Amino acid sequence: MKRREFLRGIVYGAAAVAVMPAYMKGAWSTESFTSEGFDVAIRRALGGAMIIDSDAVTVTAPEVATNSSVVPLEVSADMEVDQMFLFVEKNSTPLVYRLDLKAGMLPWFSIRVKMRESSAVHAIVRSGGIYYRKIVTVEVTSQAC
Amino acid sequence: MSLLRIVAVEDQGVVSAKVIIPHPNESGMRRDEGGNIVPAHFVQEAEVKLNGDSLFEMQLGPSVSRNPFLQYRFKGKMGDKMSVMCKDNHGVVFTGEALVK
Repeated sequence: MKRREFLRGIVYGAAAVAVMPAYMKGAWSTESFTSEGFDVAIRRALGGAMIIDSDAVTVTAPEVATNSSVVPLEVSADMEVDQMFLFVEKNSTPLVYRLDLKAGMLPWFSIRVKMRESSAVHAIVRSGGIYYRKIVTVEVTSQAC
Repeated sequence: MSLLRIVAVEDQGVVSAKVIIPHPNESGMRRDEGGNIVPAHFVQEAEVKLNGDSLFEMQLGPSVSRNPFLQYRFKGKMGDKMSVMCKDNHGVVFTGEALVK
């Protein structure tokens, strides 16, 4: 009897552990927000999918950022989009955000980021299961972390 | 903790929204005056709903500036209710809502 209760406890305990991570940790992807460099970050975030360079994706950014702790980066696209990614290639953690767009949301998003140094900025959108990218370069004149 | 600042204004069926999340958003890379690393403390997740339906879900990294300032656009109309939920790496949740003007 005691043995049975003990075993039951183990079964319930295992069920709780299995359910908890999703609830406690939420959706945040430790793998994608890696500090192992840009190549690793983009491969993990996009699962190694092919990316097509496209002028239908627009990044509006200052060519020279005088305050590197507040660099406004605006991304938009001339197509239906269900995902958007923004990477600052030379930041310690290159992935800035991953955005999952639902019904009614338009492909236009702006955020302010910290830049460690002058860097390429990659905006990637997913449309019809295909990833499209626009790269711009932002020069910074002071440092932020 | 701190309250979200939210504005949403409609023009010809398109709503332009601005959200400011008052938050230190420490990347975990910065050193203080004493040379000690300031621990990472930043907003990791955000979700916005329009009249109860999800408009977008978002994951954010430590590169986002202090007091994260999000701007976005969606199809909507005056009087729609937009609610914002975000969560930092300590699991602290911030919520707020606003009616589209």
